[in-house]
Amino acid sequence: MLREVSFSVGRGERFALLGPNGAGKSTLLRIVAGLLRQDSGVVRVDGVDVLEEPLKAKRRIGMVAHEPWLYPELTAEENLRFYAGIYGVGEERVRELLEEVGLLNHARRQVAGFSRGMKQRLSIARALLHEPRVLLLDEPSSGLDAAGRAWLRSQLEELSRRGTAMLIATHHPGEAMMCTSGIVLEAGRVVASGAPESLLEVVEGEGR
Amino acid sequence: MKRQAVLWIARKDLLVEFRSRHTLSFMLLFSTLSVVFFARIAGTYVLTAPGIAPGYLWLVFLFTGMLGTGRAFLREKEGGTLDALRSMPVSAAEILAGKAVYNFLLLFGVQCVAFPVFLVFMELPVKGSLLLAFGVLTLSNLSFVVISSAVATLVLGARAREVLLPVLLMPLLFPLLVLSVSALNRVLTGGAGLMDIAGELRLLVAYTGVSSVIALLTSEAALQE
Repeated sequence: MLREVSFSVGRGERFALLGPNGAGKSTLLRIVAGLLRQDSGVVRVDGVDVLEEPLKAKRRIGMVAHEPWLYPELTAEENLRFYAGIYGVGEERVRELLEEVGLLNHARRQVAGFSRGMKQRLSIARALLHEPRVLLLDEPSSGLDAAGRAWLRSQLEELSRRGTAMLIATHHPGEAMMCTSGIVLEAGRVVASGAPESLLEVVEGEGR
Repeated sequence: MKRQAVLWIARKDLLVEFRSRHTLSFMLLFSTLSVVFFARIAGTYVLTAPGIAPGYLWLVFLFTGMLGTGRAFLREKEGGTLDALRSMPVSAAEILAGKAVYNFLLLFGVQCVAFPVFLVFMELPVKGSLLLAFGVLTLSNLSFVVISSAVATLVLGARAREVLLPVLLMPLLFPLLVLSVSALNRVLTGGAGLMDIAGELRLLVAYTGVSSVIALLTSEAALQE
């Protein structure tokens, strides 16, 4: 259960959500994404109330969840084409993103045969299809090797430059250090906020 | 409601089914085996009694449909992609409508195979129009998928959803079965024409319409976590 959680994330900012398992990081992301309804309080995405205008808010949000949200029976291209169809995004954007995430050569392969890292790349492409203003990422580097993590870092930096606000739930110190600010959650409450270095100290202190 | 989103969801489900062939092959196998088994066990003299054969045909469709229609939502739930659908700018009603279109096409495919098999194995002395009987079945199937898709969303969060689905579905399908069996019986064994079964058809259309409205109105709450 989340209590008295309040923060704002500006354009191009990368905001870290840190804390132990069960602290409420994923729940918070799901509330922002409109997948869960909060009992009280307001969530605004780009000025749009998520509860009052869910479809308008969802158009502004992209999410990379813990699960890849892909259909294993479909090819990489078919997966993106399906999501693009729902968002009303053109075919060129699908090819462009497949190239951007390095999967253009695997476009016609079924996702069932993909490694965890490839699925994660495709999942990120899926979340970016409609060029969301807010990107929610739940443990985005899980399953990625060192090269994949470096690629993710450069992608997030590029998205920041384009003005995308990001909310990143993570355990990984490297991911936290990519962020500009953040909070530490514990049992649904904010126990610290500020720069990532100070947040990591809090997290490490609690771990001892 | 955005027609485009509904069609994309239905198209995607058909593509997934085309690749895996899990649901359709089981539905076809179950329906044809049931027809053949029943024809052999009951004997044609039993089946020619008024109301028996159409009633049996509906039992086959009922169980075949329940095998298949629950899968469309269950697959999304198990694969985690239901959240993906819910995270997109599509309403729950559009998701439900997409699933209903897919389920209808699946059941229509089964109907196209099972109905001729039924006619051949049951050796019914058909008096009316086969096309009209096929039309009655198609309309009934449409009503069936609307109701079953809506109930499938309601039981998604339940632990014993596979057991719960038929238990909840049976009473809701009862009026549909009575109307459909009556119309089919009158066409197949009584030689009734379109005007003769207009009453049943009107009620079927009304029941489908009311079910659709209720399904769409409850979809948001049903899909909410």
